[in-house]
Amino acid sequence: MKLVALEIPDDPALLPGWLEGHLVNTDLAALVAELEAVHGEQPDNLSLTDVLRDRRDAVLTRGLASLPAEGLKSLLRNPRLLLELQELILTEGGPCWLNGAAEAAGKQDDLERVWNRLSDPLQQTSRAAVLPVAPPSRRVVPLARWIATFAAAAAIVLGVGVFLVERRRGGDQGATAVAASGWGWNRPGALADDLPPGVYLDRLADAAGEWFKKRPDDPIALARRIGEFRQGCSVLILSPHKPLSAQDRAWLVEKCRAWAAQLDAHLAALEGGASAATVRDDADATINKLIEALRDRAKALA
Amino acid sequence: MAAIVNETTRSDEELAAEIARRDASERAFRAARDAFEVLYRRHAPLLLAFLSSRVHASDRDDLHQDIWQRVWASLPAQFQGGNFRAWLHQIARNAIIDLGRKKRPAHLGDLRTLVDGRPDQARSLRLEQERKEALERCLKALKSELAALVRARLGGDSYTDICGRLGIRPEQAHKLFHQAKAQLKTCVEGALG
Repeated sequence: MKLVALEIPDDPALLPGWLEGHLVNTDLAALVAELEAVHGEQPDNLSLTDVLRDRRDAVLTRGLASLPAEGLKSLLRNPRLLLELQELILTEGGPCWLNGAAEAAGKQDDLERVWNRLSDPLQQTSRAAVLPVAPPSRRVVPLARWIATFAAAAAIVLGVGVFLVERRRGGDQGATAVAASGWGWNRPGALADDLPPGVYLDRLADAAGEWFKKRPDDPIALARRIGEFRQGCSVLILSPHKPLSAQDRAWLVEKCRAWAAQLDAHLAALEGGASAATVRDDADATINKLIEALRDRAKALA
Repeated sequence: MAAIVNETTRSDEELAAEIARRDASERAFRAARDAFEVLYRRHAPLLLAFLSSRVHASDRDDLHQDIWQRVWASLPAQFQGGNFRAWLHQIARNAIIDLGRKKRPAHLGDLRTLVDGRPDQARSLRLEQERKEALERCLKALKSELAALVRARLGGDSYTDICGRLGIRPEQAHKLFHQAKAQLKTCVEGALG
C-alpha cells in the first residue's frame, strides 16, 4: 500500500515535474483521493480557468513549470481540478505532455499488451472495415520476455556508461550527472550537492521511495523496474556525495553495494522462474530497509 | 517499427485521412494499418492515463482496446476532419459511459452524472473512495501538530514557509513529516487490510 500524495517532493522546484508525472501516469485517481482526504472537497471552489488564468496555453505547451507557485498550490488543494486538467491535456496537451506520457507508459507493458491485441487481427485481416476482437489478456511470447530481460540488463550497463561518460565530461559536476533512466536516484537533481548531510540522506530516501510509484505485475516490467533501481545503486556508488563526511560517504557506498547485491539476487530469482508477486514483495522489503537505513542515518546527522 | 514509432512528420488529420482510404486497394490498406499504429503510439499513452483515473484497473485494458477498435471501425465514416484528439476523447468518454451502464445499469448516481455529461470525475472518486476514507480517519488520529504539517506539505507549502509559521527548525520539520508519513502508512494499511 502506497500513499502517493505523501511522496510529494521536499524541494518546491520539483513539484511541477512530480505533478506532471501523476497527470500522465496511471495513479492520478489515488492522488486525487488522498489530497481530498487531506483538504476536503473543493475547499476554494475554484475552476480550472481560475487556476490557469493566462497561463493555460503555456501549461499546455510547456508544462506546469509555467504555472506560478500559487497555481500549483491551488491544484493540490482542489484536487478534482487535476482530473479536469488531465482531460484538457488529453485533447490539447503539446508535445511535452505527449512525450511525458509516452515515457511513463514505456515503463509499463499496458500499451504493448493492448497493441498486440489490436494488431494481430489487423495483420491477418485484409481490407476489413471492422477490426476483429482478439481474445482478452493474451500473454507475451517468450521471445519478447527474453528481449525485455536483456533490455533490463542492457539498461544497467548503458545507464552506468552514460553516467560515467557524463562524469568524465563534467568533472566536478559528477553529482548532478544524469543517467539514462529518469526516476529515483537516476532522476536529475536527485543528488543535490548543496544540502546539509541529514537532508541529503533524506532526499535519497525520498528518491528511493519512487520505486513504489509503479507496481508491475508482469515479470518483464518488474525486471525492467528492478534493473532501473539497480542502475541507481551504481550511480550512488560512483558519486562523490559532497554533502557527506568521508565516514558517511564510506557508510553509504558500503550500504549501496549490499543493496545492489540484493537487487541482483531479486533479478536472478525472477529470471530463474520465481513469481513476479514474490520477487516484487522481496524487492519491496529490500527497498523499505534501505529507506529506513537512510532515514535513521539522516536522523543521526540532523 | 522504429520508423513508425518515431514518425512525427504527418499530422493526426493526415494519418486519419490515410486510414479513411483503406478500402481503395491492398496497398492502401497496408498504409492505413501503419497510419493507425502511428496514431496509437502517439495518443495511447495519454489516453491510458485518462482511462486509469476513470475506470477500475481490471476494466482498463479491455476498455482501451475497445476504444481503438471503435476508432478503426468508425473513422472512415464518422471522422469529418478537424481535431482528431477531440474526436478520440469523445469516443473514450462514450466508451466509459457505456461501461458504466453495463456495470451499474440502475444506479441513479451514475445516471445523474451521465446526463450532465460529467461521468468521469464521479467515477474517479468512487475508484479510490476507500483509500480516501481511510486516510481521513487516520489523519484525525494524528497529533494536531503532525496533521497540520501534513496538510501544509500536501498543500504545496515549502519547509521554509512551514517552519516560519510553526516556529520549528527545518530538521525538526523533516523529522516530524517522516514520522507522520510512517504513522499514516501503518494506519491506512491497517484500515484497508
